[in-house]
Amino acid sequence: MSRDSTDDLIEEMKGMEEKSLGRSLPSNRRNYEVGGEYCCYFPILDLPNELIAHIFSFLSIEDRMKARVHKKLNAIELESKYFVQSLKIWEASHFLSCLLWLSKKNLKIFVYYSNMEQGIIFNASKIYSSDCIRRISQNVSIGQISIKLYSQLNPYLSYYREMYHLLKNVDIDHLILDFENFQTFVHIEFVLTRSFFVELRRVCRLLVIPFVVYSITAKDLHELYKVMIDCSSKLKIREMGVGMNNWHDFLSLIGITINFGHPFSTRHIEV
Amino acid sequence: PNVKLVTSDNEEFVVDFRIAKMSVTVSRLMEAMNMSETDDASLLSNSIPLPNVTKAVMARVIEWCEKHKNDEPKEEKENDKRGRTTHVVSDWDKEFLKNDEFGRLCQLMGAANYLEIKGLFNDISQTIANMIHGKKSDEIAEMFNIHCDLTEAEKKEIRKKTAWCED
Repeated sequence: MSRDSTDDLIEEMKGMEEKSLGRSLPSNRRNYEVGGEYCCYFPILDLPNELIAHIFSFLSIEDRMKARVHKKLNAIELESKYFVQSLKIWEASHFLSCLLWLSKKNLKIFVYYSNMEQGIIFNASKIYSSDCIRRISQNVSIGQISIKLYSQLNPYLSYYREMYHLLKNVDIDHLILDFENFQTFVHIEFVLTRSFFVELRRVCRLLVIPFVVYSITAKDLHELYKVMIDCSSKLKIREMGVGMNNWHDFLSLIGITINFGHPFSTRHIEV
Repeated sequence: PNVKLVTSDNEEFVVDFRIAKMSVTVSRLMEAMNMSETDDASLLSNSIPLPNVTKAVMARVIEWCEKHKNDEPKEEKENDKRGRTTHVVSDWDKEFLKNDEFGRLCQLMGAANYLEIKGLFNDISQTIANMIHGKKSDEIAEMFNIHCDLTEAEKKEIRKKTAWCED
Protein backbone atom coordinates (compact mmCIF):
# COMPACT_ATOMS: atom_id res chain seq x y z
CA MET A 1 0.00 0.00 0.00
CA SER A 2 1.47 3.36 -0.98
CA ARG A 3 2.03 6.05 1.58
CA ASP A 4 -0.69 8.29 0.16
CA SER A 5 -3.34 5.67 0.32
CA THR A 6 -2.35 4.79 3.87
CA ASP A 7 -2.73 8.43 4.82
CA ASP A 8 -6.08 8.51 3.11
CA LEU A 9 -7.13 5.46 5.06
CA ILE A 10 -6.02 7.04 8.33
CA GLU A 11 -7.91 10.20 7.48
CA GLU A 12 -10.96 8.15 6.66
CA MET A 13 -10.72 6.23 9.90
CA LYS A 14 -10.43 9.48 11.81
CA GLY A 15 -13.59 10.63 10.13
CA MET A 16 -15.35 7.44 11.12
CA GLU A 17 -14.06 7.80 14.64
CA GLU A 18 -15.49 11.27 14.90
CA LYS A 19 -18.81 9.99 13.69
CA SER A 20 -18.91 7.12 16.13
CA LEU A 21 -20.78 8.21 19.17
CA GLY A 22 -19.44 6.28 22.08
CA ARG A 23 -16.19 8.22 21.94
CA SER A 24 -17.29 11.32 20.13
CA LEU A 25 -15.59 14.53 21.08
CA PRO A 26 -18.09 17.15 20.05
CA SER A 27 -16.86 20.01 17.98
CA ASN A 28 -18.38 22.54 20.29
CA ARG A 29 -16.96 20.98 23.39
CA ARG A 30 -15.68 24.35 24.58
CA ASN A 31 -19.30 25.29 25.01
CA TYR A 32 -19.76 22.97 27.89
CA GLU A 33 -16.25 22.58 29.14
CA VAL A 34 -15.39 25.68 31.01
CA GLY A 35 -12.00 26.19 32.60
CA GLY A 36 -11.16 22.52 32.15
CA GLU A 37 -14.10 21.50 34.30
CA TYR A 38 -16.99 19.60 32.96
CA CYS A 39 -20.09 21.66 33.43
CA CYS A 40 -23.57 20.43 33.01
CA TYR A 41 -24.36 21.19 29.40
CA PHE A 42 -25.67 18.57 27.10
CA PRO A 43 -24.15 18.47 23.63
CA ILE A 44 -27.51 17.73 22.07
CA LEU A 45 -26.50 19.17 18.72
CA ASP A 46 -23.70 16.63 18.47
CA LEU A 47 -26.10 13.74 18.50
CA PRO A 48 -26.88 12.27 15.08
CA ASN A 49 -30.13 13.53 13.57
CA GLU A 50 -31.96 10.24 14.03
CA LEU A 51 -31.26 10.24 17.76
CA ILE A 52 -32.52 13.80 18.10
CA ALA A 53 -35.60 12.81 16.12
CA HIS A 54 -36.06 9.90 18.51
CA ILE A 55 -35.98 12.25 21.49
CA PHE A 56 -38.50 14.47 19.69
CA SER A 57 -40.82 11.49 19.35
CA PHE A 58 -41.24 11.58 23.15
CA LEU A 59 -42.34 15.20 23.18
CA SER A 60 -45.76 16.78 22.99
CA ILE A 61 -46.59 19.23 20.21
CA GLU A 62 -45.89 22.24 22.41
CA ASP A 63 -42.55 20.90 23.53
CA ARG A 64 -41.59 20.02 19.96
CA MET A 65 -42.40 23.53 18.82
CA LYS A 66 -40.52 25.13 21.66
CA ALA A 67 -37.46 22.97 21.22
CA ARG A 68 -36.75 24.48 17.81
CA VAL A 69 -34.08 26.81 19.11
CA HIS A 70 -31.53 26.07 16.42
CA LYS A 71 -31.62 25.61 12.63
CA LYS A 72 -30.66 21.98 12.95
CA LEU A 73 -33.32 21.25 15.57
CA ASN A 74 -35.91 23.10 13.53
CA ALA A 75 -35.08 21.05 10.44
CA ILE A 76 -35.11 17.76 12.32
CA GLU A 77 -38.44 18.58 13.94
CA LEU A 78 -39.97 19.21 10.55
CA GLU A 79 -38.52 16.07 9.00
CA SER A 80 -39.66 13.65 11.67
CA LYS A 81 -43.26 12.56 11.43
CA TYR A 82 -45.19 12.02 14.63
CA PHE A 83 -48.56 10.90 15.88
CA VAL A 84 -50.94 12.70 18.21
CA GLN A 85 -53.75 10.67 19.74
CA SER A 86 -56.23 13.46 20.22
CA LEU A 87 -56.30 17.08 19.18
CA LYS A 88 -58.95 19.72 19.62
CA ILE A 89 -59.19 23.00 17.84
CA TRP A 90 -61.94 24.73 19.69
CA GLU A 91 -62.78 28.30 20.23
CA ALA A 92 -62.58 29.71 23.69
CA SER A 93 -66.25 30.47 24.01
CA HIS A 94 -66.67 26.72 24.19
CA PHE A 95 -63.84 26.39 26.61
CA LEU A 96 -65.38 27.54 29.85
CA SER A 97 -68.19 25.01 29.80
CA CYS A 98 -65.73 22.23 29.03
CA LEU A 99 -63.01 23.26 31.42
CA LEU A 100 -64.04 20.91 34.14
CA TRP A 101 -64.43 18.00 31.82
CA LEU A 102 -61.11 18.61 30.11
CA SER A 103 -59.17 19.00 33.30
CA LYS A 104 -60.02 15.40 34.11
CA LYS A 105 -58.78 14.09 30.81
CA ASN A 106 -55.31 14.35 29.52
CA LEU A 107 -56.25 15.63 26.10
CA LYS A 108 -54.31 17.84 23.82
CA ILE A 109 -56.13 21.08 23.40
CA PHE A 110 -55.89 24.28 21.52
CA VAL A 111 -58.29 26.89 22.57
CA TYR A 112 -59.01 29.71 20.26
CA TYR A 113 -61.14 32.69 20.57
CA SER A 114 -61.52 34.31 17.24
CA ASN A 115 -62.02 37.98 17.23
CA MET A 116 -59.94 39.27 14.40
CA GLU A 117 -59.59 38.37 10.77
CA GLN A 118 -56.58 36.21 9.88
CA GLY A 119 -55.70 35.81 13.47
CA ILE A 120 -56.89 34.15 16.61
CA ILE A 121 -57.17 35.62 20.01
CA PHE A 122 -56.59 33.59 23.09
CA ASN A 123 -58.54 34.75 26.09
CA ALA A 124 -59.38 37.83 24.10
CA SER A 125 -55.99 39.34 24.74
CA LYS A 126 -53.46 37.65 22.50
CA ILE A 127 -53.45 37.14 18.76
CA TYR A 128 -52.34 33.95 17.08
CA SER A 129 -52.16 33.24 13.39
CA SER A 130 -53.13 30.02 11.68
CA ASP A 131 -49.47 29.52 10.85
CA CYS A 132 -49.09 27.31 13.89
CA ILE A 133 -51.60 24.83 12.52
CA ARG A 134 -49.97 25.04 9.11
CA ARG A 135 -46.60 24.20 10.60
CA ILE A 136 -47.97 21.34 12.64
CA SER A 137 -49.94 19.96 9.70
CA GLN A 138 -46.74 19.38 7.77
CA ASN A 139 -45.51 16.38 9.72
CA VAL A 140 -48.18 15.29 12.17
CA SER A 141 -50.68 12.48 11.91
CA ILE A 142 -53.66 12.52 14.21
CA GLY A 143 -55.81 9.87 15.81
CA GLN A 144 -58.82 12.04 16.46
CA ILE A 145 -59.28 15.69 15.74
CA SER A 146 -62.27 17.76 16.68
CA ILE A 147 -62.90 21.14 15.13
CA LYS A 148 -65.26 23.63 16.68
CA LEU A 149 -64.93 27.01 15.13
CA TYR A 150 -67.58 29.61 15.22
CA SER A 151 -67.76 33.21 15.99
CA GLN A 152 -70.40 35.46 17.38
CA LEU A 153 -69.27 37.88 14.75
CA ASN A 154 -69.03 37.26 11.10
CA PRO A 155 -65.87 38.32 9.29
CA TYR A 156 -63.73 35.22 9.87
CA LEU A 157 -64.91 32.92 7.14
CA SER A 158 -61.74 33.10 5.12
CA TYR A 159 -59.89 32.24 8.27
CA TYR A 160 -62.16 29.31 9.07
CA ARG A 161 -61.93 28.05 5.55
CA GLU A 162 -58.18 28.19 5.76
CA MET A 163 -58.21 26.18 8.97
CA TYR A 164 -60.52 23.51 7.55
CA HIS A 165 -58.54 23.23 4.38
CA LEU A 166 -55.31 22.75 6.29
CA LEU A 167 -56.80 19.43 7.39
CA LYS A 168 -56.46 18.12 3.88
CA ASN A 169 -52.72 17.81 4.41
CA VAL A 170 -52.93 15.87 7.65
CA ASP A 171 -53.23 12.12 8.04
CA ILE A 172 -56.35 11.73 10.19
CA ASP A 173 -58.08 8.64 11.54
CA HIS A 174 -61.16 10.27 12.87
CA LEU A 175 -62.35 13.77 12.04
CA ILE A 176 -65.15 15.46 13.94
CA LEU A 177 -66.53 18.57 12.34
CA ASP A 178 -68.69 20.16 14.93
CA PHE A 179 -70.94 22.86 13.56
CA GLU A 180 -72.97 23.34 16.67
CA ASN A 181 -73.89 27.00 16.83
CA PHE A 182 -72.05 27.73 13.64
CA GLN A 183 -73.35 31.22 13.36
CA THR A 184 -73.65 31.49 9.65
CA PHE A 185 -75.00 28.18 8.40
CA VAL A 186 -75.11 29.56 4.93
CA HIS A 187 -71.36 29.72 4.92
CA ILE A 188 -70.74 26.09 5.70
CA GLU A 189 -70.97 25.49 2.01
CA PHE A 190 -67.68 27.31 1.70
CA VAL A 191 -66.15 24.71 3.94
CA LEU A 192 -67.88 21.51 2.89
CA THR A 193 -67.29 21.76 -0.80
CA ARG A 194 -66.89 18.83 -3.12
CA SER A 195 -63.19 19.51 -3.48
CA PHE A 196 -62.90 19.51 0.29
CA PHE A 197 -64.40 16.03 0.53
CA VAL A 198 -62.48 14.75 -2.44
CA GLU A 199 -59.23 15.88 -0.87
CA LEU A 200 -60.30 14.73 2.55
CA ARG A 201 -60.81 11.17 1.42
CA ARG A 202 -57.09 10.86 0.81
CA VAL A 203 -56.19 11.57 4.40
CA CYS A 204 -59.18 10.84 6.61
CA ARG A 205 -60.72 7.50 7.55
CA LEU A 206 -63.76 8.41 9.59
CA LEU A 207 -65.82 11.57 9.39
CA VAL A 208 -68.35 12.63 12.01
CA ILE A 209 -70.60 15.66 11.71
CA PRO A 210 -72.72 15.38 14.83
CA PHE A 211 -75.04 18.33 14.43
CA VAL A 212 -77.64 18.90 11.76
CA VAL A 213 -76.34 21.14 9.06
CA TYR A 214 -79.21 22.27 6.89
CA SER A 215 -77.00 23.75 4.27
CA ILE A 216 -75.66 20.32 3.29
CA THR A 217 -77.81 19.75 0.23
CA ALA A 218 -78.83 16.56 -1.48
CA LYS A 219 -76.34 17.40 -4.18
CA ASP A 220 -73.51 17.71 -1.65
CA LEU A 221 -74.47 14.36 -0.20
CA HIS A 222 -74.48 12.82 -3.62
CA GLU A 223 -71.01 14.17 -4.31
CA LEU A 224 -69.84 12.78 -1.01
CA TYR A 225 -71.52 9.47 -1.80
CA LYS A 226 -69.66 9.30 -5.08
CA VAL A 227 -66.41 9.99 -3.29
CA MET A 228 -67.13 7.19 -0.83
CA ILE A 229 -68.10 4.47 -3.27
CA ASP A 230 -65.00 5.20 -5.27
CA CYS A 231 -62.78 2.31 -4.20
CA SER A 232 -59.70 4.47 -3.85
CA SER A 233 -61.27 6.15 -0.86
CA LYS A 234 -60.80 5.05 2.72
CA LEU A 235 -63.32 7.60 3.98
CA LYS A 236 -66.27 6.42 6.05
CA ILE A 237 -68.97 8.39 7.75
CA ARG A 238 -70.29 7.46 11.15
CA GLU A 239 -72.70 10.20 11.85
CA MET A 240 -73.88 13.13 9.86
CA GLY A 241 -76.56 15.65 10.58
CA VAL A 242 -78.60 16.41 7.52
CA GLY A 243 -82.01 17.99 7.12
CA MET A 244 -84.72 15.36 6.48
CA ASN A 245 -85.84 16.82 3.18
CA ASN A 246 -82.30 16.93 1.90
CA TRP A 247 -81.81 13.34 2.97
CA HIS A 248 -84.88 12.22 1.01
CA ASP A 249 -83.75 14.19 -2.00
CA PHE A 250 -80.37 12.55 -1.80
CA LEU A 251 -81.89 9.08 -1.60
CA SER A 252 -83.98 9.76 -4.64
CA LEU A 253 -80.86 10.93 -6.45
CA ILE A 254 -79.34 7.49 -5.97
CA GLY A 255 -82.59 5.79 -6.88
CA ILE A 256 -84.20 5.21 -3.50
CA THR A 257 -87.64 6.52 -2.68
CA ILE A 258 -89.38 6.47 0.63
CA ASN A 259 -92.72 4.71 0.41
CA PHE A 260 -94.85 4.96 3.54
CA GLY A 261 -91.74 5.48 5.67
CA HIS A 262 -89.78 2.57 4.17
CA PRO A 263 -86.94 2.91 1.69
CA PHE A 264 -87.78 1.40 -1.66
CA SER A 265 -85.76 1.01 -4.80
CA THR A 266 -85.99 -0.64 -8.17
CA ARG A 267 -82.22 -0.98 -8.19
CA HIS A 268 -79.96 -3.27 -6.28
CA ILE A 269 -78.61 -1.36 -3.30
CA GLU A 270 -75.44 -2.17 -1.46
CA VAL A 271 -75.37 -0.91 2.06
CA PRO B 1 -21.31 -19.27 30.26
CA ASN B 2 -19.44 -15.99 29.91
CA VAL B 3 -18.70 -13.74 26.96
CA LYS B 4 -15.74 -11.39 26.59
CA LEU B 5 -16.45 -7.85 25.38
CA VAL B 6 -13.58 -5.54 24.47
CA THR B 7 -14.09 -1.77 24.50
CA SER B 8 -12.41 0.89 22.39
CA ASP B 9 -9.83 1.50 25.10
CA ASN B 10 -8.96 -2.21 25.17
CA GLU B 11 -10.69 -3.01 28.41
CA GLU B 12 -12.06 -6.52 28.60
CA PHE B 13 -15.43 -7.09 30.25
CA VAL B 14 -16.51 -10.63 31.03
CA VAL B 15 -20.28 -10.84 31.17
CA ASP B 16 -22.92 -13.52 31.36
CA PHE B 17 -24.15 -14.84 28.03
CA ARG B 18 -27.65 -13.62 28.87
CA ILE B 19 -26.37 -10.08 29.46
CA ALA B 20 -24.47 -10.11 26.18
CA LYS B 21 -27.62 -11.25 24.35
CA MET B 22 -29.48 -8.14 25.55
CA SER B 23 -27.56 -6.15 22.97
CA VAL B 24 -28.86 -6.89 19.50
CA THR B 25 -25.52 -5.80 18.07
CA VAL B 26 -23.50 -8.16 20.28
CA SER B 27 -26.02 -10.91 19.64
CA ARG B 28 -25.51 -10.55 15.90
CA LEU B 29 -21.74 -10.46 16.23
CA MET B 30 -21.77 -13.64 18.30
CA GLU B 31 -23.86 -15.33 15.67
CA ALA B 32 -21.49 -14.18 12.96
CA MET B 33 -18.56 -15.57 14.94
CA ASN B 34 -20.34 -18.88 15.54
CA MET B 35 -20.36 -18.39 19.28
CA SER B 36 -23.09 -20.30 21.06
CA GLU B 37 -24.19 -20.75 24.63
CA THR B 38 -23.60 -24.48 24.55
CA ASP B 39 -20.17 -24.26 22.95
CA ASP B 40 -17.80 -23.15 25.72
CA ALA B 41 -14.75 -23.35 23.47
CA SER B 42 -16.26 -20.81 21.07
CA LEU B 43 -16.90 -18.41 23.94
CA LEU B 44 -13.44 -18.82 25.42
CA SER B 45 -11.53 -18.38 22.22
CA ASN B 46 -13.39 -15.31 20.95
CA SER B 47 -13.99 -11.84 22.23
CA ILE B 48 -16.41 -9.25 20.86
CA PRO B 49 -14.78 -5.97 19.85
CA LEU B 50 -16.92 -2.88 20.53
CA PRO B 51 -14.93 0.01 19.05
CA ASN B 52 -17.71 2.56 19.66
CA VAL B 53 -17.93 2.09 23.41
CA THR B 54 -15.49 3.23 26.06
CA LYS B 55 -14.71 1.49 29.33
CA ALA B 56 -16.60 3.99 31.47
CA VAL B 57 -19.72 3.82 29.31
CA MET B 58 -19.57 0.03 29.04
CA ALA B 59 -19.52 -0.31 32.81
CA ARG B 60 -22.72 1.74 33.01
CA VAL B 61 -24.38 -0.26 30.25
CA ILE B 62 -23.58 -3.54 31.98
CA GLU B 63 -24.88 -2.20 35.29
CA TRP B 64 -28.18 -1.40 33.57
CA CYS B 65 -28.32 -4.79 31.86
CA GLU B 66 -27.63 -6.66 35.12
CA LYS B 67 -30.68 -5.00 36.62
CA HIS B 68 -32.90 -5.72 33.64
CA LYS B 69 -31.78 -9.19 32.63
CA ASN B 70 -34.98 -10.78 33.93
CA ASP B 71 -37.38 -8.28 32.34
CA GLU B 72 -40.19 -9.60 30.21
CA PRO B 73 -39.85 -8.48 26.59
CA LYS B 74 -42.13 -5.53 25.96
CA GLU B 75 -44.86 -5.59 23.39
CA GLU B 76 -44.95 -2.64 21.08
CA LYS B 77 -48.21 -0.80 20.92
CA GLU B 78 -49.64 0.14 17.57
CA ASN B 79 -49.31 3.86 18.15
CA ASP B 80 -45.72 3.59 19.28
CA LYS B 81 -44.80 2.54 15.80
CA ARG B 82 -46.65 5.46 14.30
CA GLY B 83 -45.11 8.28 16.19
CA ARG B 84 -45.27 9.70 19.62
CA THR B 85 -43.68 7.32 21.98
CA THR B 86 -44.41 7.10 25.62
CA HIS B 87 -42.08 5.19 27.79
CA VAL B 88 -42.30 4.70 31.50
CA VAL B 89 -38.91 5.06 33.16
CA SER B 90 -38.90 2.82 36.22
CA ASP B 91 -37.85 4.21 39.57
CA TRP B 92 -34.65 2.22 39.53
CA ASP B 93 -33.81 3.58 36.07
CA LYS B 94 -34.55 7.14 37.15
CA GLU B 95 -32.20 6.73 40.05
CA PHE B 96 -29.66 5.09 37.74
CA LEU B 97 -29.65 8.03 35.31
CA LYS B 98 -30.14 10.75 37.90
CA ASN B 99 -26.51 11.44 38.59
CA ASP B 100 -25.35 11.34 34.99
CA GLU B 101 -24.55 14.80 33.84
CA PHE B 102 -25.71 15.58 30.34
CA GLY B 103 -22.47 14.81 28.54
CA ARG B 104 -22.36 11.30 29.93
CA LEU B 105 -26.04 10.79 29.24
CA CYS B 106 -25.32 11.64 25.64
CA GLN B 107 -22.50 9.09 25.44
CA LEU B 108 -24.68 6.48 27.11
CA MET B 109 -27.45 7.15 24.61
CA GLY B 110 -24.98 6.75 21.74
CA ALA B 111 -23.79 3.46 23.20
CA ALA B 112 -27.33 2.17 23.77
CA ASN B 113 -28.13 3.02 20.17
CA TYR B 114 -24.99 1.37 18.84
CA LEU B 115 -25.45 -1.73 20.97
CA GLU B 116 -29.19 -1.75 20.22
CA ILE B 117 -30.42 -2.06 23.77
CA LYS B 118 -33.88 -0.69 23.33
CA GLY B 119 -34.94 -0.41 26.95
CA LEU B 120 -31.91 1.65 27.93
CA PHE B 121 -32.13 3.71 24.75
CA ASN B 122 -35.76 4.62 25.47
CA ASP B 123 -35.00 5.29 29.13
CA ILE B 124 -32.45 7.90 28.14
CA SER B 125 -34.58 9.39 25.37
CA GLN B 126 -37.49 9.76 27.76
CA THR B 127 -35.20 11.25 30.41
CA ILE B 128 -33.94 13.89 27.99
CA ALA B 129 -37.49 14.54 26.76
CA ASN B 130 -38.51 15.08 30.38
CA MET B 131 -35.79 17.71 30.69
CA ILE B 132 -37.24 19.58 27.72
CA HIS B 133 -40.85 19.19 28.78
CA GLY B 134 -42.57 22.34 29.96
CA LYS B 135 -39.62 24.63 29.37
CA LYS B 136 -39.66 27.79 27.32
CA SER B 137 -37.53 28.09 24.21
CA ASP B 138 -34.88 30.25 25.83
CA GLU B 139 -34.73 27.90 28.81
CA ILE B 140 -34.19 24.96 26.48
CA ALA B 141 -31.47 26.84 24.62
CA GLU B 142 -29.83 27.70 27.91
CA MET B 143 -30.06 24.19 29.31
CA PHE B 144 -28.36 22.68 26.26
CA ASN B 145 -26.11 25.69 25.84
CA ILE B 146 -27.27 26.04 22.27
CA HIS B 147 -26.05 29.13 20.56
CA CYS B 148 -29.01 30.24 18.51
CA ASP B 149 -28.00 30.42 14.87
CA LEU B 150 -31.37 31.66 13.65
CA THR B 151 -31.64 35.06 12.03
CA GLU B 152 -33.98 37.64 13.49
CA ALA B 153 -36.41 37.00 10.63
CA GLU B 154 -36.36 33.24 11.26
CA LYS B 155 -36.85 33.76 14.97
CA LYS B 156 -39.80 35.99 14.28
CA GLU B 157 -41.25 33.38 11.94
CA ILE B 158 -40.89 30.66 14.59
CA ARG B 159 -42.36 32.86 17.29
CA LYS B 160 -45.34 33.55 15.07
CA LYS B 161 -45.97 29.85 14.71
CA THR B 162 -45.46 28.95 18.35
CA ALA B 163 -47.13 31.92 19.99
CA TRP B 164 -49.98 29.74 21.23
CA CYS B 165 -47.70 27.52 23.26
CA GLU B 166 -45.22 30.08 24.51
CA ASP B 167 -47.49 31.81 26.97
